[in-house]
Amino acid sequence: MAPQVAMGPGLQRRLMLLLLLPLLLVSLINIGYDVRLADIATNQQDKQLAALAPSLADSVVAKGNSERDGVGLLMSPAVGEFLREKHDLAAFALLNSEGRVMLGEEWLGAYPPSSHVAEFSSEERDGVTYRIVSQRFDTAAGDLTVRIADGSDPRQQWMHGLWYKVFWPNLLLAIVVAFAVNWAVRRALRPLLELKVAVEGRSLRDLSHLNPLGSPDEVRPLVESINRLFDLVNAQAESQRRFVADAAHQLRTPLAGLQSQVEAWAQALEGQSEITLTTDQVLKLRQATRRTSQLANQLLALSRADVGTTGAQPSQKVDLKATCETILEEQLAHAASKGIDLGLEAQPVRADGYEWLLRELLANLVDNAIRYTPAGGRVTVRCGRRGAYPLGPLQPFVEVEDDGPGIPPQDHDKVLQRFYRLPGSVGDGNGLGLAIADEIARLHGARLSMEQGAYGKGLRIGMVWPEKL
Amino acid sequence: MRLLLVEDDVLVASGIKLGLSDAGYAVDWVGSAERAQEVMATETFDVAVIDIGLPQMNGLMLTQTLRSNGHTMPVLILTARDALHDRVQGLDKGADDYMVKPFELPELLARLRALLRRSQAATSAVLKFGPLELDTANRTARVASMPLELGPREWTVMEYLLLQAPKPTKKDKLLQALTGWDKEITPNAVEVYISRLRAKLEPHGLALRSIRGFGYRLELSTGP
Repeated sequence: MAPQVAMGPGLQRRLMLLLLLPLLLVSLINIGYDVRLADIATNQQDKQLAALAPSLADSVVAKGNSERDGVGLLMSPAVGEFLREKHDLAAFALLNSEGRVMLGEEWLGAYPPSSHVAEFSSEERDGVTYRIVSQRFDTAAGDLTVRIADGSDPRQQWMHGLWYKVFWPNLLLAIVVAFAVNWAVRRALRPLLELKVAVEGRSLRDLSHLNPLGSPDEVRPLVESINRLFDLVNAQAESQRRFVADAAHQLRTPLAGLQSQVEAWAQALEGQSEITLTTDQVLKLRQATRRTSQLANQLLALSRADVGTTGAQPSQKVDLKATCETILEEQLAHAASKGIDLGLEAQPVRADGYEWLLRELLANLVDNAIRYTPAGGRVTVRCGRRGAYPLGPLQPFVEVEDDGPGIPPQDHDKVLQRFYRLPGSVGDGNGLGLAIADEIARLHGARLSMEQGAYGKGLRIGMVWPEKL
Repeated sequence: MRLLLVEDDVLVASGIKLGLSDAGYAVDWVGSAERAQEVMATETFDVAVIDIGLPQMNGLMLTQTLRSNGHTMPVLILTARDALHDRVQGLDKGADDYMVKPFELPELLARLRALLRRSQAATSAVLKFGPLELDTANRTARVASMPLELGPREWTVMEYLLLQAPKPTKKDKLLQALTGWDKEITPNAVEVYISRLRAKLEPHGLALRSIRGFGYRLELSTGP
């Protein structure tokens, strides 16, 4: 699931959960409290019924004339008021010793209790639960059982109340909370959604800054980070554009030479089947093609030295001595053909880095040294450990020293620029070698350093590993 | 030497063919891996130069197929991509060496010479470099068809230099090889044998170049 899609509902769900859980807890406490209240009310009801039973027994004033007549009753005011108050939710009955109803509601007929202690029971009738007290008395009409039923059961009322007092209000609250959370999250996240739309709307051609002032304080750091990323991408894209333009321009020069030569021969061939080429012409042509090839190789090397290409793979411990030896073997023929004494001064040393890039770096430095050192000169490849500054800790280094013309100190920065060539420099370099080497040094957290060679002439160029990579 | 060239680019192929023919190779050129397999079914070659970027079946697959069909001749792979992955893959599939396009003809010739010398050493026990011939089976040496007297330690050094040529040989390697003869040998001793060999080889146009801090390289001397 893409994070930007999950953000809204995710936050919403979480907020909803966090709000509804306490709400549910409060409802449960509420219900529990109501149950306790109902219990208390029931006890009070029992007490009231218990108090009424003797009053009713006292109301019996005379024995009826016959079994069928029941009893004579002069209702005491307390019982009369109770019955009036409860209207049709209250009933009473007077039962004889067999349990037959002498007076009152027929349905209250029941077997009389064994003792004279008040007994309580609940009975359901027509959907109403009645709380019933039964007690035996010795009345004016003999041994009678008094039963009073109260249908206004507080527990039942509580059951009704539960829906109205607890369930519905809480449900309503939950719905309101859901809508409120939904609305609030939407509203609170609107700046982020607007930011998303703004970022999505950008193309690589338009990476100007987003306005951080339009965003709330919490989102502003994100906007600023995005702006910084835009700056990086812009700089990268700009350097790529410049590089491609430079590269195309640089390739044109040797290609133009080649083309003009071949065009001229093609023209000379008009009407002829063959032409004669001089050795000089062929050698010049070879020179031009080799230059073109070298330029293409170096352009590739430069693009590969870009930070992006190494990001995927971790750096390794590189055996610098072995790398220097490989370079020496590769460049030996080139050096020999120019009459240059190429040598090695290598101490065994390992350093963190990218082996193939370090080989490229050394190859460029050695190639440069051989290219600009006159015949009979010396070029030495070195590796080992030394302090990056006086008394500093010993760090791995690689360097190449020659006794050629060297580079004036004021030009040290310029020669690291792509396609820059020293005015009046000999040879057929393309001004990329040192730029590549420097790019690779940067990838290893260092820079290419340059100084005069040991005998007051030539160039010593290389890199020292930084203390922590 | 019969050489099979598998390359689909006509310009590159004709250039290589011309250069190699001039250097004395009998070059058979085919433009696809499929065609190469047909030719290989009936003909035998001493060495093959195969481009990776072929139209249908690529050069790596062709190399692999050739190897699994039991062809043992040295294979040199040509590639326009010099990514490390390609190189390693090429060697894994059974190629003996690779070159990145564009390359210079002398470099290709040197690589082929080295490949052929190594494959010959594996089969015929005779090592050759220019006018020098070392018969490792009979331990006899000839230079310009004349017998060359070599002491046992000189022979060891010579054999190492010749196996490596035209690459240089590390001095430690020679030192290690000589400890088989003498337990306590000094680096100076290596120099002694080198200078003796120099005296014997130089009159025949062979040079032993000292590589500062590295070792020695057997080469054909350019001057008189």
